[in-house]
Parts: sequence; C-alpha cells; structure tokens
Amino acid sequence: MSALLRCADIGKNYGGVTALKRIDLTVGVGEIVGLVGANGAGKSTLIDIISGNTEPSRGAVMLRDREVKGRPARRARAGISRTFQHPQISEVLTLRENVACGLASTRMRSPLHVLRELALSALIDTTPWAEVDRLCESIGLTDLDRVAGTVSFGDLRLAEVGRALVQQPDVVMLDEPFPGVDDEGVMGVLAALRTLRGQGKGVLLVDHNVDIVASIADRLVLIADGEVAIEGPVDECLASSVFRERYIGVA
Amino acid sequence: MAIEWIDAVTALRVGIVYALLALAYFLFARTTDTINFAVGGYAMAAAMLYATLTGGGTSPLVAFVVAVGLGAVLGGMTETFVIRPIASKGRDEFVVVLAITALLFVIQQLAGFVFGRRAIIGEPLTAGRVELAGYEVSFQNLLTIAVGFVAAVVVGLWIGRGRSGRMMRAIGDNEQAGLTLGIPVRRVRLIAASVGGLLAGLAGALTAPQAGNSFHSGVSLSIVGFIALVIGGMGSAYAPLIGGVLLSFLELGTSLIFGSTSRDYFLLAAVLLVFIARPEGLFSLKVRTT
Amino acid sequence: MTITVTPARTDRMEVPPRSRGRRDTTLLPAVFFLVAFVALYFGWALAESYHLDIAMTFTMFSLLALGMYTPLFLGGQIDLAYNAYLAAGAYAVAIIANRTDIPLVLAIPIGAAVAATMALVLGLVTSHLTGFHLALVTLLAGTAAYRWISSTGAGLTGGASGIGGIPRLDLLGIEFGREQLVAAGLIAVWLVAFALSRFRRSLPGLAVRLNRASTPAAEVSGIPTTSIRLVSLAMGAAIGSLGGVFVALMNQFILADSYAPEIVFLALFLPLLGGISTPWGAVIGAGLLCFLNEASAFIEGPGPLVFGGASLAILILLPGGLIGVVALGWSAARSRMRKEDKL
Repeated sequence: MSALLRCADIGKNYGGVTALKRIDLTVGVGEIVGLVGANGAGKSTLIDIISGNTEPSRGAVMLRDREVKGRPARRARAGISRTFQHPQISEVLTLRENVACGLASTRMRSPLHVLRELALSALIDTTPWAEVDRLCESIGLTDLDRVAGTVSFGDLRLAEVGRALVQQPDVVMLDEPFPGVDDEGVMGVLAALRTLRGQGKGVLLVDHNVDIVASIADRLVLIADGEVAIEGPVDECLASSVFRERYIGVA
Repeated sequence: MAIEWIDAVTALRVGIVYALLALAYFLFARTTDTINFAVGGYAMAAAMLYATLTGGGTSPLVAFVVAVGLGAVLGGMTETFVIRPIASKGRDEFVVVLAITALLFVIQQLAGFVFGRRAIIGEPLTAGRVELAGYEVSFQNLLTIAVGFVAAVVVGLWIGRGRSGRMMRAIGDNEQAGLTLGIPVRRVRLIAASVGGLLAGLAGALTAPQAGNSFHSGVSLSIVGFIALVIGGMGSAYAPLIGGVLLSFLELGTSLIFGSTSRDYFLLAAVLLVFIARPEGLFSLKVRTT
Repeated sequence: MTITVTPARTDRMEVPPRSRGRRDTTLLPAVFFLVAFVALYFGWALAESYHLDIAMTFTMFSLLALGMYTPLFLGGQIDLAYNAYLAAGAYAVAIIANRTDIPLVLAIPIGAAVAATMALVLGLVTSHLTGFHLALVTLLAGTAAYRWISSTGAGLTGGASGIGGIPRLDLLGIEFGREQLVAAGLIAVWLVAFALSRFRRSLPGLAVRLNRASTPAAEVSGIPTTSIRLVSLAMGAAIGSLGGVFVALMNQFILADSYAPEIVFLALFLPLLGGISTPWGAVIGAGLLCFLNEASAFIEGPGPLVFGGASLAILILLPGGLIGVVALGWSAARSRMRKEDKL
C-alpha cells in the first residue's frame, strides 16, 4: 500500500517540555488508521502539526510524497481536512452554513477565486447547497436550518465532521468525533469513512472508544510518551501485551 | 532649539498624568481582562467637575476630593453595570469593545450635557509660584508631579505587596485558580476597578487647572493613556509609570523637532512601532514561554 | 466530483422537502425597502427642500454604517477609522473638481480606491491586532487623518475652512441637482444593502463570519483568512467613501470638521439599534436617527447621548440588536415547534 500521508520524524517541544519525541506515521491510500493513546499522549498535537495549526519543532509532513508546509488554509486546499476535539464552529451560522464553509477549500483556492466568488455573491447563489444537504444527510445530520448555537454537542461534532468531509479531502483527520453523538450519527460517520476508503482516500481517526475505532480501522497506532509505542493490524495490536499495558492499563 | 529645563518639568508633569491613566488601564486589564478605554472619559468628567465646582466658588480641595471620587464611582460602575453583565452572558470580546466604546461616548455626551459644551479651566489647588533657576514654576505643577508620583508608587506597592494586590494578580493570571483558592473575585475586581477609576479621576483633577478641558477631550486622554500603557507594557505595576513619562518626553522631543502639529502622527507612529517591535511593551518583565 | 455515500439507514432518504436547500430570505426585505424608498422619495423628499437635506443625512449615515457592517459586524474587526474613509470620498470629489481636469464622475471610483487603500494599509500594519488594540489604533489613525485634512495637509485640503465651489455632477447630459442626487443616493443605499444581504449568506460572507467565530476553524476549512480580512476591510472602506462622495456633491462644499472621529461613534450605533443580523438594520438605524432629528434638533442636542445610551443598553442586555433578537426568537420558536412535532 503506497503512502498517502507520511509524518517523518516529527518532534514538538513546548519550552522545555517535550510533547512529541519522534513520530513516524503513514496513512496509505484507502486506509483508515486509528490513532489511540492516553490523555495527553500527543494525539491532538500530532493532528495540529499535520493540519498546520501548530509548527513542529522537527520533522516534515508529506502528502503524496510532497512536503506540505505553511498555513492550515493552504494544507486544506492541498487536501488535508480535520475536526477539532472541541468543536470550532460559528454559533450564529446555521448547521448548513457551517458545513458549507468547508467548500472554501475548493472554491476559494486563489485570490482570483475569492474575487470571483465575491463578485458573484451579490448576484447569484453559486453554493451547491443540495450537495451540502446530501452530505449532511448521509452522516445523520438533519434539520439544517437550526442555528448552531442552539443544537446539541453531538450535532456540533457532526457539523464539524460534515465541514471536513465537504472539502473532498485526500486525508481526513477526525479528532474524537464520537462523544455525544448518538448511534445513528456514529453509524453515519462510519459509513461515510468507509466510502472515503472505497474512494482511495486516507483517514486518521482518533477516539477514546477503542471498540468503535477497532471496528473500522485497518491499522492501529498507539502513541505513548511522545513516541509510537506499537502499530499494526487491529487484531495484532489489541492482542499485544504492550497495547494493553500502555493504553488500556493507563486508561 | 535647545531644551530648557522648564520644558522637562512640564513634560514630567504631563508624563505623570499619562502614567496615572496608564495605571488605570493596567488595573482594569489585569483584573477584568478589559482594555477599558473609558478611563479617559473618567478623567475628563473629573476635570470638568473640578473646574465647574471651583468656578462656582467651592474650595479647590473639596472639589478635588469630589472629582477624584467621581472617577472612582465611574470605575466601579463600569465594572458592575457594563463589564460584569456582559461577561456573565458568555464573554464576547467584540461586544465588550463596542460596549466600552459606547460607554466612553455616553460619558462624553453626558458631561457635555451636565457641564456644558465649552472648554473650562479650573482654579489651581494652590496659587503660589516659586522661582527656580530663572524660571517661575507654579506650585500646581510641582504638586501634580508629587501627588501623581506618590499615587503611582503607592498603587504599585499595593499591587506588588498588598493582600488585595496579590489576589488581583492571581485573578489576572488565572480566574479559575483564583476562585478555587477562595479569592472573592467579584470584590477584588470591584476594588481594582474603583481604584482604576480613582487614578483616572486623579489625572483629570490634576490637569483641570492646566488646560481647558471640554467634553470631548475624553477620547484623546484615553488614547494617550493607552499608548503609555502599550509603551510601558503590563509586566509590572511600575511599567505604566515609566511608559507615561517616556511618552511625554518623546512627545516633547518630537514637538521641538517637528512642531506641535506633529503630535497625532507621532502618537500613531509610536504605537504602531511598539506593536510591531515589542507587542508586550518595552518594559515587560513577562517572559514568553511559547 | 461529488461525495456519494450510502446512507446507513434507508429511512434517512425521506427528507422533508423544506430542509432541502435553503430559502432565499433576502428578497422580501429588499422589495419592502424598495417600495419604502420610492414612496419616501416621491411622496416626501421631493415635497420640500429641507426634506432633501434630511434625505442626505439619511443616505450619508446609511452608507457609513453599511460600510462598517462587513468588517465589524460580520468579521468582528473593529476598524474605527471610518471618518478617514468618508473624508477620502468627499475630498476626492472636492479636489478633483477644483484642482484637476479629471471628469468629476471619476471621483467616485478614485475616492473608493483611496479609502480601500487606506484600509488595506491600516489592515496590514495591524494584522496581528484584534479587539481593544485594533479599535484604539484605528481610532488613532482616524484622528491622525483628521489632523492631516484639517491642518497639516491644508495646501491640498483647504484646512479647516475646507473647499467650496464644487460644481454639479454632469453625467451623459444630465445635471445631477439635489433631487437627482438624492435619488441616486437612495438607489446606492438600496443596492449596497441588498448586495450585502446576499453577500452575508454567500460563501465569502460565511467565510468572514466563520473567521470571526474561530480563525483556526476558518483556516482548516481552506479559507484564506488574511485575504478575506483585508478584502472585507477594503470593501467596507470603499462603501463608506461613497457617503463622503454623496455629501460633497450635495452640499457643493466640504468642511474638515465634518470628518472628525466623533462621526464614527454615531455610525457605529446605527446597526446596533437597527439590528446587526441584516445590513438593513444599518438602514433602519439611520432612518431612526433622521426621524428623531426631524422631531427635534436631535443630532445637535440629546441625540448622540440617547443613541449611545440605547446602544450601550442593547449591548449589555441583548447583544444581537433589535432584529437579532427577533431572529433568534424566531429560530428558537421554530425549533421548539419542530420538537413538539416530533413528540
């Protein structure tokens, strides 16, 4: 399986504190990788580094063997999308509008695109709303006219997942997408991830619920003490004593 | 043009006033996380009240106390009726900034309504003059420097050493931790806001005899106080004092070189330069860790 | 390329038709205001000469407040240098008319370009500032601009006494007298407000609004946050400059004191009073100001105090503004109704 996303020798220090020592991680074409680890193991930091929200102290992020650099918006346009552990959305926009913001990664690629969208905005509505609705529906997010400030935490998460998926990413990283989401929503998100896998995209999935992650992931990666403690096929990992010791034992 | 030492006395007097305003900002910023640019409004209101009272025959000392008290009341009211209610609805900085802007505007308009729309000058606290090295220096000037300096130092000591000062710093650094430690956060904030208002009132009452104050001088007082704060930084309680005096001397220097109309450009250039070069202020003790 | 996903459960295929796509809610207010403007113009503004002056004040404040709408109320960027942008439009008219041979109509794009450039430069040097710091620095910039037009730049701007003798705009053989100018001004207000109400709901508008809520979220959505911030600042400044162009053409003279920073405060309160959840709120606020001013010498008298006090009260009590409250109430009532439907 060829690598779609590759993190090479990534390290991160905050002042004198080491958050990530050395991480090498790949996500293959059509592969769902489950990233697990105890609280504070550095999972979110790693996602921040890949998406460009945090600068690494060391190492590089490669997408299709080309290094991705710069601001998160640039990486989003290059094909990396993500959600946040604490949903980051606008409370005054409706769910539909929040999800639609993800379209920026394809429709606002360059200053010229921005100007075109701007010029058109006053005249015609070019946003493919039906596509947004279809996507939301597929992950179990309905009643999209609701203002985001008034919905449940689970629906906020789903809206963020929708925003990440509507970007048509090559690699999508979901940082704990399931807490607060009802069963229908979980099934919807998992189905969407399977579809992405079928399309040859890559998924990096972080969640504390090992059962859910194991049910869909092709491979697990366990981070502990800022390093990859163990990685491999789901069954092997779950059976290994290292896994139980370093993760389940801790958690 | 040579700098006469009398200019330095004037600059020091003006700088002390800036410092008092900056210190008022500092108190609000450390405890309520608000750059309260209504402080210029408090100073203006205090100056107008002082000038109106002394113009009506009230003794300057009584007028002074009343005017400073007005500053303290306005400061406390700002915390109670503006900052706290907005914070309790889920603080959105945008709303706070707009509210503070509206507050400054309202204070100005109210002052124009109550004290009239013309510029007025108050009686000095003491009318005497003393001759020093060939120049006459009014007691008022010396008094302004002395009172302002003492006030700044006392507040600095209070923040650095005093009980409520220590509690204030704890809240500023981490409100949740403050609450956990059993600090009466609301009361400490109210005290800090009132003291901040008092300092601004002091600045206003001290300047009232010097120059004509009108209802719309609040904005410019707010701006200079803010710049003094930016220059000094928020690292220690003495940083605003240094910032204020430094700003005043820089102003003196530019007006000697470029003429007095250059002031607004100088202020803009100064604040932009500081923001670009050292966003944390020139005299910050804070070490950035990230 | 579209994402097609097999639904996990088939019953999700039945989606109520009204949740498909989104209704266009911009047309109704636009039609309402069009009718109102036409009625006001023919039924009221043309009736007396001083009504034209009131309509001028309304147009000027509307354009100024509409200019502030995008960067401030959608983007959360508190740029207070709007007196400078207003002045850019007005002085473009006066200077081009009196000191150059450039056709007067070009003062409109030139004024807008100058204002937009000023906003861009200010936006670039304040790129790392937000909130209080941005507000104070832009206020200072507005003050410096006022200082320049009223004294330092007197050679070009005429200083405190301003510039007079601005000729009437003559375009394609039509001389724009006061009546025609007011008509053009009202059309401009209507077009700008309508365009902004559509912009607000379009992808760039959503981008500006998401960036206000969370810059990291906007970034990971692929939104070029720096460009979008600068574009909204420039756009707002250009709209604000139109107000200055309009006043200069109407009065045929300009005075430096009309462009003191104080005017920004009053304009800032108009959307707050009219409601910030639609650009029409700015127009309503401006109408309210003129209506009250008509009843008494409002702007010279208690007006600013009343407006400032009311805005402060709204900010403390109901941060959404008047229309915002109505809209939020509507949304809450609707979702409650839906819940009851489900039960």
